[in-house]
Amino acid sequence: MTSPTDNSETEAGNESNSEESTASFAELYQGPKQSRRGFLTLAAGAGAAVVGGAAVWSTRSRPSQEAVANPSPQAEAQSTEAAVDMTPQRPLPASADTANRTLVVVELQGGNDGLATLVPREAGTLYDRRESIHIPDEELLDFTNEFGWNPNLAGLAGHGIAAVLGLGTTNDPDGSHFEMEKRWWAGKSSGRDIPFTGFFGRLCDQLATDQPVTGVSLGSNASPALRAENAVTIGLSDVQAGWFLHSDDDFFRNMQRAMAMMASGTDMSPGLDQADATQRVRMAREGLADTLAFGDTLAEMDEDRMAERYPQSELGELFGAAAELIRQESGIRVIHLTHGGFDTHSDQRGTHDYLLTQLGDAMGAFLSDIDDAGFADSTLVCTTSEFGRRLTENAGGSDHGQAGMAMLSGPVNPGVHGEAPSLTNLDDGNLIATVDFEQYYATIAEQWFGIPSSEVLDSGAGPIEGLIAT
Amino acid sequence: MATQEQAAHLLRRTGFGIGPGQIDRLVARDIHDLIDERIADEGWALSAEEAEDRDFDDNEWDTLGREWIDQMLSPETGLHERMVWFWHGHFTSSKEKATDRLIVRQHHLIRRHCLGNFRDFARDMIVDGAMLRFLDGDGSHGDSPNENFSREFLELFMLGRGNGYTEDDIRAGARILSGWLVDYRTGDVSFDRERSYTRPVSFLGTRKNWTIDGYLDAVLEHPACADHVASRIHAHLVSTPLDDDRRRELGNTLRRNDWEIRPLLAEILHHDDFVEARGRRTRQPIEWFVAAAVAVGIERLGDHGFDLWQIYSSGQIPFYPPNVAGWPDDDRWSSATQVMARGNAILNWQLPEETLNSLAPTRDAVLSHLGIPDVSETTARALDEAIDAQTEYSRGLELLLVTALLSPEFSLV
Repeated sequence: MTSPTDNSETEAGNESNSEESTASFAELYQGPKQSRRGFLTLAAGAGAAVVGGAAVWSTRSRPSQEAVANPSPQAEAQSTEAAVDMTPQRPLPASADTANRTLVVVELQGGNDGLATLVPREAGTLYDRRESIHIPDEELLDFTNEFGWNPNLAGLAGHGIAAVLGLGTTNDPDGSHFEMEKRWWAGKSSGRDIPFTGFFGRLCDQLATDQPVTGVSLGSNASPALRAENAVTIGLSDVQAGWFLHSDDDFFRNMQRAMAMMASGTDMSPGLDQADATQRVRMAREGLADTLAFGDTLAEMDEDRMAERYPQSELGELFGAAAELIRQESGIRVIHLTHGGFDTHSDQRGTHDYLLTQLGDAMGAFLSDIDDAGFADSTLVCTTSEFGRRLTENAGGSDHGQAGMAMLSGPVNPGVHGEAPSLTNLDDGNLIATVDFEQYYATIAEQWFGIPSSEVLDSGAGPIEGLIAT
Repeated sequence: MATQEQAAHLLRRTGFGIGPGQIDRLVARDIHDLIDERIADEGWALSAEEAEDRDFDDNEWDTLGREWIDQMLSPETGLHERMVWFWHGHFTSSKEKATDRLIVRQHHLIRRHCLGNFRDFARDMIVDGAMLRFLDGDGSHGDSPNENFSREFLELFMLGRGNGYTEDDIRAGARILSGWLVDYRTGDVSFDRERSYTRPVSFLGTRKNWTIDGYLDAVLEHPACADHVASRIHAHLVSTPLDDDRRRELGNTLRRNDWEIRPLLAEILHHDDFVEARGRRTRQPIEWFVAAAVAVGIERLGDHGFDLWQIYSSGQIPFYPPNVAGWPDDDRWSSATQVMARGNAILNWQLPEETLNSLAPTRDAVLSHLGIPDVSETTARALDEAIDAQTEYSRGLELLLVTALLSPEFSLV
């Protein structure tokens, strides 16, 4: 909050939202397109000392909307580099102790085109149906005899990648982002009886210890996927969003101290001593305490290292923050990152290539970073996406489809898992899922965290065997 | 005679926030008169025709959400607006399955009925376009009817889960309610006899040819209905546990008054448990933001740095309920995610001149201003120490306001 006397810069940066066109639920949920501007202008306007807290990251460039639509020449240049080895390497066995393991989920929001991510080789159908968006065999990065990776994922070379093909819902698929996101977030492939909690939030409920925070979603405020019943999960629209919790400015230090004192109390307002009132106050104090504890974690982040090791992109920043959270061993077990823009109805090659370049480069940097820091065998990275795209292209783009795919790295058995969906037996033009995403989730619950599927999934779906390397 | 605390409690629970000077105008008046005044609140609503004629500029970003928050922020906001918010979580629908055109009609349907007659309200809701879209009544064919609405109507809206109905009743209800269509373009709702189920069915123990009115009457006459609906309203306004006798009493009030909502509200608000419920409910995010903005002196969304994305970052978005049960109403809303979102938002606000000029930068002045004059000793000490340590005197008021807004006491009502 600022006084009228010092608000000029803040107001200037506080553009109206009315310029935004009607957005989908997922886009609305992200809000930070505006919030980021707000934080940055606030940091700039709120006094010199704040700059130390927030402005360091703001000096790094972020891709604009235009950049996403028109990928940079570098991104294209990179895609033509040849002879990048993506073939499955020896698996890295997971750490013995499941209590040390961390999960990083990357949500490819909008519906990632599986057929343009891990591409079937010599598939005449694809050439016929996707004349302008198909990636020719010779451009693909080597993987298996049947499949090659989109060349823009070259940043992942040298890291063992597993792919789960045919992934979607085997239970009445739907073409709406809202409906399918809701199912993926909730971990309910049928879409019926959607609970308030998210699948990853329920994992956090199982994983919570006496550490203050168990799950963090970055880049999507409070992702519904991380909604928990009891565990503390925090949503950050932006890695700077907690700047006020560790700013050195006099004003903010006084505020932090007051918050800490309010969190520490055990007394009640006069006349309020009923058990339920006491419980409500206790929960509110815990909320303050958790916030401050998380602020300490944020303050420990090594921004220089992040700037040095990660590509200058929003996703690079999120992956850098994820690595910092893991390095600190602060009890955070699930980190959810959102990488949006995959709804490629038009100009698919340009947009999709650009998004995969960002993904490959940022995730590759993360895997190397985590490996150097000694956390490779205890960190699993996996992707989700609400659906794949339709087989037949639509004027340079692709429409909402059904079965998609997921990528995993870390202690996995590199190679292809699941079953590639048929390119000829289709459901209304869509690839039919061969693996239900609840099986995918069950694999993460049981084989990564040692949590019985029945604790976190109503269906009690079984895992995909052989995906996690033990 | 209403005390400061009683007046503040009444304003918080039957409205959203407490504006400057509002408590002063209420203290020393008879509390029961004040409650009756709140219940007489008329509020604002468009007629069905006006709502149908609403034009939308497709380039406007969430016009409806903004309009609604502005209503909540208005100094005239009272029980009507509070009940609009309650019913949106009860008879809920989401903008992702219903268009803006349908949602605005449902929103004003709620506005027209929220303090009126529950029977009329439910009757209109059964064939409301947004509801038909949200719970798949749209296009439901009598030969293979969609059961979604029929199930939730009994389970969530009217009777309570497992409260004296069977799966067969749900299937029968789906047949009775089949045949309705929503025109996606115009939003108009129509009934197609050809698509409806025309033979007799057994529903709640009676086999006959059913109409929508007959169906609704059967549900209303079900012994669990009035108790369930009344206890939902009680949970929102009072929030403390209800014993069986009191639950029945509230249900009887609704039945005895032919489903008029105001007499039930009178029964709830004049009862001792309402006054005693102070500090025992956690403000939901939207409630918190509106209360905070009103307290700071912000009267419109978009003014002084208050904007919709700040509410969105809390995870609670008007017209986007997480599921058909609306939002949970428990202590999760004071969690760290909320503190982060709230801290970020209010540090982005600018203090209006009027507030800066009229509010003394002292602990007691700020706490009274926020409607929480009697905080715990810990919170009082935290504010004292903060203001003592603040060397930049000109920012003392901001520091007190920000800190007090983040206090446990302000997160509760």
